[in-house]
Formats: sequence, C-alpha cells, structure tokens
Amino acid sequence: MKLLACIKKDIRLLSGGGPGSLLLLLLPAALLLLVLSFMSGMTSVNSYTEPFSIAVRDEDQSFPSGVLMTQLKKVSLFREVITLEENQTDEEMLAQGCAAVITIPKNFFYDLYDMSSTEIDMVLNGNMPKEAAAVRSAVSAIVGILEENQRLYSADAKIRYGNLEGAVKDKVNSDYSGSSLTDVLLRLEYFSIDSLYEDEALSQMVFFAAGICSMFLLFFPLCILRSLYEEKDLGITTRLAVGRGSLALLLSKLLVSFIFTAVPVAVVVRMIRLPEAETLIPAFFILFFASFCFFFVLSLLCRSPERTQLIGNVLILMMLLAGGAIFPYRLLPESIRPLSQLSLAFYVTRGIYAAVLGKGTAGVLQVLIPVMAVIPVLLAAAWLLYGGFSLQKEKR
Amino acid sequence: MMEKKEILVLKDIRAMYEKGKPVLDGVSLALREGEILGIRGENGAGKTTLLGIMAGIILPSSGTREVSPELDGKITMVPQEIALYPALTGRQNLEFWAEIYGVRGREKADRIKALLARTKLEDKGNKKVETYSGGMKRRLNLAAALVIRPELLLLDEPTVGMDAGSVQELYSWLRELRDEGTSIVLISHDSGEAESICDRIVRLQDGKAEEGTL
Repeated sequence: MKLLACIKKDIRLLSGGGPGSLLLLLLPAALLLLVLSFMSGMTSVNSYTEPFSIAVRDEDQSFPSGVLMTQLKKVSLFREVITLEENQTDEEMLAQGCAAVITIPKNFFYDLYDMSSTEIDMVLNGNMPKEAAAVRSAVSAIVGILEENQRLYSADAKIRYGNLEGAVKDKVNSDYSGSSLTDVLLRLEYFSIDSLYEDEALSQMVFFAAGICSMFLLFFPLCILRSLYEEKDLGITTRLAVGRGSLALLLSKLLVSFIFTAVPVAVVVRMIRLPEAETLIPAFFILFFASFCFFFVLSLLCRSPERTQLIGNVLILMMLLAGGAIFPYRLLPESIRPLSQLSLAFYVTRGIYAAVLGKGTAGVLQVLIPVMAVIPVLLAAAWLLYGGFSLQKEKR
Repeated sequence: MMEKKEILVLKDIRAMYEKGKPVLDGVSLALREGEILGIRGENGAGKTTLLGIMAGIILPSSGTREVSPELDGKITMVPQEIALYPALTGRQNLEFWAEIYGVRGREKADRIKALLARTKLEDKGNKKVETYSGGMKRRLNLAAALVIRPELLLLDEPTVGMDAGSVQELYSWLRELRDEGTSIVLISHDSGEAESICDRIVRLQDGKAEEGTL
C-alpha cells in the first residue's frame, strides 16, 4: 500500500507538471517514433534485400581474372554472375536486371603485377540503388585492399632492396602482387561481400539502438530522482519515516524509473530486431542501476529539482555526444575520445556491439567492468550525501 | 481523579550530534494519554531531536523508549517545514498521506473532504500547493498529519508563518483532538498562547529536561 502510494505519487510528479512535463515525456517518445521510422526504412532498404544479378566483362582474360570470377560466383548476395560476351553492351545487361556491370580492364593483373593501376570500371543500375550501392561498396573494398597492399609492398621493397631494375624488379613485383591478389581472394572467401554489406546495416542498427537506449537509460532516472533533495529538504522523508514509508519512497523511485526505462528500451530492441538481444538483459540492469545511482547523487548535489533537471539535461547531452550516441565514435574528434569512457552511452554502445557480435552475456559484461567498478563508488557517495544530510537537519 | 495511562516513556535518553557535548543528557519523561505536552528550549537545545526520538525515527545514543502498543502505526508528525509536494494539488497530497497510513476507499474520500473543509481549502483542493499562501500551506501541513485519527500527534513549530486568526484556529483544533483522546507533543517558541493549551511543559536546558509549571 505504501509502495503503491509512492509509485502513484512519482508518476503524478513525473506527468503532473503541466504542459512542460508532458512535453518532457513526449520528447523521448517522439524521438523513439522518429528513430523507429528511420530504422524501419533502413531495415527495409538493407536487411531484406533479395539476391541479385551482376554482369562482369573480363577484358583481361588472364588466369587471376578467371579466379576472381569464380570467387565472385560464390558470393551468396549475387544470384547470378553473368560473364559478358564481346557483343553484349552494358545497357543491355542493366535492362535485363543486373545491378551493375563490372569491367576488369585489359592488363589489370599485369598492372597490378607492375605495381601501377588498380582501377576497375563499373556501371551501376540507377533503378536498383540499394543493390548497386552494395556492389559499389564491395568493389571499393576490393580495390581499397589492393591499393593498400600495393603501397605497403612498394615501401617494403624499397626498404629491403633499394631501387630495383630489370628482371629482379619483375620478380619482386610478381611475388608481391601475387600476395596481394591472394589476400583479396582470401578475404572474398572468408569475409564475403554480403557480410560486409550486412555489417554496414548492423553497424547503423547498433548506433541507433545505442543512441535511443542511452537516452532512455539516462532521461527517466533523472526525471524521477530530481525531486529527491526536495523531499528531504521539505521534511517529507521525516514525515514518511514516522509513517514507516522511507523504504517505499526509495523503492518506488527505483521501480518507476526502471519501468519507464525498461519498457521503451524493450520496445526499441524488439522493433529493430537487434540480434542476440537476450544477452543484453544483465547489462541493462547494470547500466540502469549505474544511471540511477548517478542521478541519485546528482540530485542531492544540485539541491533543487529545477537545477537537477537543468544540469542533468546538459550532462545527458554531453554523455550522448561523447559516448558516440549522437555521432558515431569513429567520427568524434580525437580530443573528445578520452572523455567517452566517462559516458554511460559509450558503454551502452560497446555492450550492444559485443552482443550483436555474439560475444554472449560474459563478453557483454566484460565491456561493462568500468561501469560495475563505479557503482560501489556512486552508492557510497549516495549513502554519505543522504545520511550526511539527515545529520545536518537534526542539528538545526 | 485517576492518573491517565502513560503511552510513551523515555528513560535516561542521551543523544549526540557528533563526538562531543551531548544534546540530550539523560532526559526522562512520560507522555500520558490525551494530554498536550509542550516542549520549550533555546535554539539547539535538542527539541527536534527529542521529537525525533519520540517518533522513533532517531535512535538515541543510550536510554530506552517504551511505547504503548496502541501507538503502533498511529503516530503522525508535522515537521517544521511544509512537508508537502508543491507540484501536487492539496487533494493529491492528502491522498498520498492517507495511502501511506493505509486509509483507502470511501473512508479516504470522506476524510479528505472533511479535512479540506476544516482547513477552509475546499475550493483550493484541486490547485497545486505551490500556489497556496503560507497560511494555507501550514493548515494543509497539519491536515496531512490528520488523515488518520492519530493516537500521538507530534508538532514541530506548527504556527511559524501563521497569522493570529489561523493560530487560534489551530489551537482550537488541537484542543478538540485532545478531547477526542489524541496525545499531542507541541514544540513552540510561542511562550504565551502555546503554553495556554498545554497540560504540561517540559523545558530543555543543557541537555536536561525540567518539568515546568503552567
């Protein structure tokens, strides 16, 4: 009964502040809808693409180009890899439904052998943008690997042998280009194009899931706990202690924060079909509790609901920014990255990545070790501030 | 005349703020059923601490607190502060405190209606407490402690910020409660009017309690 009374009161405090409070509650909901709409578009574009055909014109007609054609046919994303005859045009193939026409230029592998050009010609089908984008991404990846290897091997050769000429140069180039080709072919076999393609979609999914989950994990504990100091300062906790409701007061804040956080997080995770989501459940409890303890301490330090909300909002924004929840971590300036590890959003992102990469509950929890280490510190601070405050009140 | 039953007895209570001089140094007193006990003392004399010990929310360093079983769940307190939620309405605040004390259903609705009428806040019941005047908040603060019929009502400076009329109204209400059998402990700086409604006065000085005369 006491707990129910406190829960009812906390929900009233959360929603009863007039249009402002309502707006505060609607803001994450609106954000959620926006993201879900985006994710829905993204998943329909990327995740459920049927295999498609491509056409390849092999002007090189060399042994390595033949090997490359064979490897391309093994990629499951390509329903068919059509080898073009001399009299067939790119336009014809695109009209037949090929997503792209790739031309391996004459002497391509010789140029590779000679450490010069690595360009592959490509014509994309404008009527099949998602499929064309996948082919482009894959070909760019292959060319990127070739170019990187070429630069690396050239530098290595120069350091080892100096400026080579004639037959010796041909021999060294041949060895290096052979290694480079083998590297590409091996990557095609083990990290097929469709896996690269799915990685990109998955990466976007993780980014948005982490962003929205971080938002909920931080926002609702703040909104519920902002009144904590006021309740002590106004003597409400004293009066509750007389009515034996102190435990109910704190338990209610924990429960209401948890429900308001867990429900939208569960909806997001369910709707975007985050892989291995069940391995994130223990991590969610840890991250939620860390957030709860953090805002518990913040509320007692800020000493007013308004100040707590204001400072809390600024901190949430900073945490989302530094934690890679607004911009992907890899796009953050170097100067901000060291701060990321102070942000809960950073660990949310890392935890979700660990889960979708199939590292299991143990792997996810390993990522959260710093968070788990901070919780006892926050708890001690909360206890000191909550208890210390009581002593001051008695003195007065 | 038969001596009234003692419902709360404190024996040799000692309490300290921190290491050092005790704020209460061997305080013993007994509260009788249906009486108003006044507690007076200078600032820092330990009045609020003594009230907290009576309520059972502060543990003394030593000494004993004996409570009559009928007080179980029937002690309410009016702290010095306005212990109400400013962002909730007067009615919502009373509902909250009623539910904390286990009052529900029809009884809760009737009780809240009667309290709003008694505090002359019927037409303000659905307004947020933050819009109330100081006197209105004080009246509602007391009403929140009366959502049940308490056996023991503890009041810490309940008249601060009240106008003379409201103070008279409050004292009249306290007399009624006493006549209905509620025991009341009243901390007040007001040495005149407040003492006039008390059956006994205890003065706290240098950590000791002395029973004074009216």
